[in-house]
Amino acid sequence: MKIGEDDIARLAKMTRLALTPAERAAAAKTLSDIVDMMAALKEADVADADPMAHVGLQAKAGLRLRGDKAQAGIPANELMANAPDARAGFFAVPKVIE
Amino acid sequence: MNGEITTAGAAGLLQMLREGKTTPADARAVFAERARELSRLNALVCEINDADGCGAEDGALFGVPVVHKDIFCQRGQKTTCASKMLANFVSPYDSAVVEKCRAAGMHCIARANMDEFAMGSSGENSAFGACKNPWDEARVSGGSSSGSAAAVAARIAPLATGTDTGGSIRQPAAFCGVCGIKPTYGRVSRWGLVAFASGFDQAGVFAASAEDCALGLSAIAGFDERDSTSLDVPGEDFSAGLEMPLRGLRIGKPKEFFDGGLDDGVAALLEDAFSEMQKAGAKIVEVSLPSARYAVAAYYILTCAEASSNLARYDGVRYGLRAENAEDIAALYEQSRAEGFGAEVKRRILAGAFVLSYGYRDAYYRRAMRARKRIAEEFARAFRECDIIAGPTTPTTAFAIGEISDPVQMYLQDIYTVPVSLAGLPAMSVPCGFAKKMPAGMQFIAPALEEKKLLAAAHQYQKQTDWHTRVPPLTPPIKDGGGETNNKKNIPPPVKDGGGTVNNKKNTPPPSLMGGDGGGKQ
Amino acid sequence: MTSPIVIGLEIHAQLKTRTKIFSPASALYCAEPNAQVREVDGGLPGALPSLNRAAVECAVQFGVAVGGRVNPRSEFARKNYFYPDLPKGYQISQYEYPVVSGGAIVVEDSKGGEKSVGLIRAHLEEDAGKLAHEGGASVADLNRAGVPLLEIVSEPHIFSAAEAAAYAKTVHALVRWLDICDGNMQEGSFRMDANISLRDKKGNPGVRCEIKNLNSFRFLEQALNYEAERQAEVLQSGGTVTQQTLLFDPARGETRPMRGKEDAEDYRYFPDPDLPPLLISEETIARIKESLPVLPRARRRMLAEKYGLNGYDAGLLCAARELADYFEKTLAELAPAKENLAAVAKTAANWILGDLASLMNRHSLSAKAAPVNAKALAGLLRAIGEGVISGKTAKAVLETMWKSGENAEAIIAREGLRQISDEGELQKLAEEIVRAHPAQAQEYRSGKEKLLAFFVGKIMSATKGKANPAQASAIIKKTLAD
Repeated sequence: MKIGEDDIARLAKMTRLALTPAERAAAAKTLSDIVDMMAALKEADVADADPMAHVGLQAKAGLRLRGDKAQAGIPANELMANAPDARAGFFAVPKVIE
Repeated sequence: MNGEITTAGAAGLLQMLREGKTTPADARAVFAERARELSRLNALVCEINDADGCGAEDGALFGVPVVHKDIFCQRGQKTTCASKMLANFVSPYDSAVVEKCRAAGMHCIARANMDEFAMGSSGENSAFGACKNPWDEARVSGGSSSGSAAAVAARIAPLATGTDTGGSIRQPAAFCGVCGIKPTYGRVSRWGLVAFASGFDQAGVFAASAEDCALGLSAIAGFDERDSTSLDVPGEDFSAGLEMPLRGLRIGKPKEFFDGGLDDGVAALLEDAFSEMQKAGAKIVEVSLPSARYAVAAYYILTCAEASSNLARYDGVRYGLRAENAEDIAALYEQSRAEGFGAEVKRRILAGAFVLSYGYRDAYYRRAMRARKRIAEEFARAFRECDIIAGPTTPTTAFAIGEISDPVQMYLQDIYTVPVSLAGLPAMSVPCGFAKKMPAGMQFIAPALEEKKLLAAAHQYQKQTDWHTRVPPLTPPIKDGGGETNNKKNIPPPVKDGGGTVNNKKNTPPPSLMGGDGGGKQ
Repeated sequence: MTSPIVIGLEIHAQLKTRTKIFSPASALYCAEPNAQVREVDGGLPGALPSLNRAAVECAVQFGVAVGGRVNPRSEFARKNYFYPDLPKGYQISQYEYPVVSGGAIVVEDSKGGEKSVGLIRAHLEEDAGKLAHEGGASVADLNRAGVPLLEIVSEPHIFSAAEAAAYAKTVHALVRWLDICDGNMQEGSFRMDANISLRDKKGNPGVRCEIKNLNSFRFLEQALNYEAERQAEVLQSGGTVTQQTLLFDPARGETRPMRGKEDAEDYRYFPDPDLPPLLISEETIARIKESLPVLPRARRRMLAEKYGLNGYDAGLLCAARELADYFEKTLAELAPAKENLAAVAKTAANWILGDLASLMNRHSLSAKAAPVNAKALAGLLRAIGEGVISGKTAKAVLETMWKSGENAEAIIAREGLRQISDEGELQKLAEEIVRAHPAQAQEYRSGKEKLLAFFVGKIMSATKGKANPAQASAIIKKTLAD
């Protein structure tokens, strides 16, 4: 399947990746190859196999439920230590307009 | 003495410690020195830690140095995943694996290089540069747990942690001539393991021998309620079953793993290994995994999808790289992610978004889920006829750095490891000889939660062979082999005549340091 | 006839749990930013979610209460999008397999008619953080990130803005009745999104628009009315409605398109690999069903039957479970004889729905938190019933009770509010007053019976209001007749 540069542009926008025109062109080519490789599945006779979202043991056991007991948050100095822009205990970003 | 320490392995070192032949501090210093001497391998990504990171004194592995793949969060330490994105990220918390190793008494001496966010099969996709194969520094170490495998191979540490999503422990173990075990999905907690593909990522260990793998796995395995996919099964002493004999063991040989694709040299080594095991009384039965041929496609669809979502959190808002001078939030996201991620990571994010996107989800993502089911069913059927499965870990031995640039060709390197990952089964790679001077690996696969069978088979095989005792011919060589007085098994084979102690004469180990021809063997 | 307006509501009810849905951080409101953030709430690398049992139980309670199907197997999925208040870059929600399917909400209209609005589903999901805008920057507080929500999705079977509001109010009352949501709309514990479209001439539903984040019933109604009119105008002028996401501006009373919201965003849902399927056993469902309180409509019927209340009063008492409980506790305290039950119940209902309700409103307190509890109110009502104080005095006593927390008896005694019911004393007073006002007495006797009030007033003022008015009136009457 041919993935065009416009497809790449759409995917890059969806995944928030800035690509240069050269990168976009290169990605179109490699992604076409990758998708062709993935398309091998088309031949697989799997219609009667149930989609498997989890490994068997986990699927069978199901979710464990946690007791509703509160723990303290991560100390603010540690949580915010990695923040590129922390202001008064908040994570700051350029203004978002809704 | 130093040489003895570095080649003793974890079990050997523990014995030396018990006998008072060395101390934890001395052993640590010896390994740290070796790590410094071999920094050119680029197996480690951080400063060698000479003092901190000590394990609990009452731990079963007290005094055993370990290196952690740079994917396990370690409180107060940089946890970078070999990505520019997280180059300055200091984790505020510990991963379960780091906690467990500390509780077991291991000393974390450094953190290991890897493919960025565990995406790669060569170790070349690291923001810190490729990790070199200790057997031939012009070749790749394999990936994504490149540094972990190389460090154990180069005897920089007796144990290393790694993660395996589609072969990221087994493949570099095979390329570097060491053992690597990927346990059952859910056996080791993923808490604090930076996710690549959550439904597949599984932590495991590298060591020179199966015996040491058992020690390492016993330390890190166990239920953890913080990980909803952690299996609530009792902790096990994986060392306990090592003496289970090969006699009577039914070893399945999947015929699809020996069709086409497999390198002749590697195939010959596997034939030798099968006869070795047969000699010891194992029964070889042919099994079939007909849908394994779809495994690479299904695996990349599913893991790229998960990765595209798992890596969305790296947005430059709360931690990690933020592009400077981004005017608005859209630019901040797009530029931060463009600067922070390497090419392969971007490729997988795009591919993952594609297979989940409107109009393609059913044909790709959903179909891959069905193929996954089919493959799991086929393994279950195969295990009705055999106790474990054995086959190649990789189609070839380590290729040259820079040799494979086509992503699809790179993905196809995982052909024998990803079927196992799709089924969530435990598997292990064990050195099985040398093809054109480079180590090759044999993969054992067991039913879920049957790691003991894997380890026993590997251990019994290693009692018959000595491939796992071979040490790469590095400069500087390991100092003072420690003695002719030692058990033969613990002697690194002399660099020039590996044949001497080997019972498999067909392949000789590499004669010289940089002996690899660097050429391809695809 | 099919309605020209088609509305469906998605309600987000914040569940009343101590911890977040996927982390052990506190889910309670906290003013200090980012103080209640654990690894998963902060979207830290390597963090993993673990599901809160209490959130699941809330969802099951709701499912059982609305007569929906609690699915034995449901699944969490990731909804992928980028926003600075979304730390993981995806929201954990439920997509293909929600925890509850079906069910219905019975809505009453103002005329007492009933309509059942079907539910498509109710599913569990996590809330996002809060983004505030200050100067040139936006700042994120993740305390709310990961707080559990139950998203309740109705069928598009609501046909007017008023009906939408009535439906939302009923859901609001129900989640509070079940005590799974505090219903605080100012704090965002109960938020509504509305989908609205107009049918074309052939009756086919048209393009729909979604109005997001409505946090009051009034705004919901205003927004839907505005939007219905706007769409009608677009269609009448020959245009087509474009599918879009809208925000309601209460100051202008208008809807406007939400900026930065792409049309038909592709969320790339897929099952969350970190969370195996949620399995709910029949035993769990049965246990929760067992422990469910009597639901509002049944309780209303019960109150009417048991106490002889009219439907209106019973309905008002069942606006909140604690109010109905308060009423019944009061009655239990008073333990009236069977023949007096209806009258006592009516009096109690009047006091609870009247004076007490206005005090609760004034102080924004619920029946549970009111400083006058059922036992204390019963004491007051007993004093009225026994003629110890008049109804008018009782109003003042209630105010004092509310302020001081004392019981009625203590206040009556301390302030000397006991009514004068001594017949001899009142008789003496009556005779004095009649004697002091011969002209008025004469007029009364010659037929101007209105003057009775004059004499009663005199007695009341002479006793500073402590006379029993009925008794005083009877005695005056008798004295004037003599």
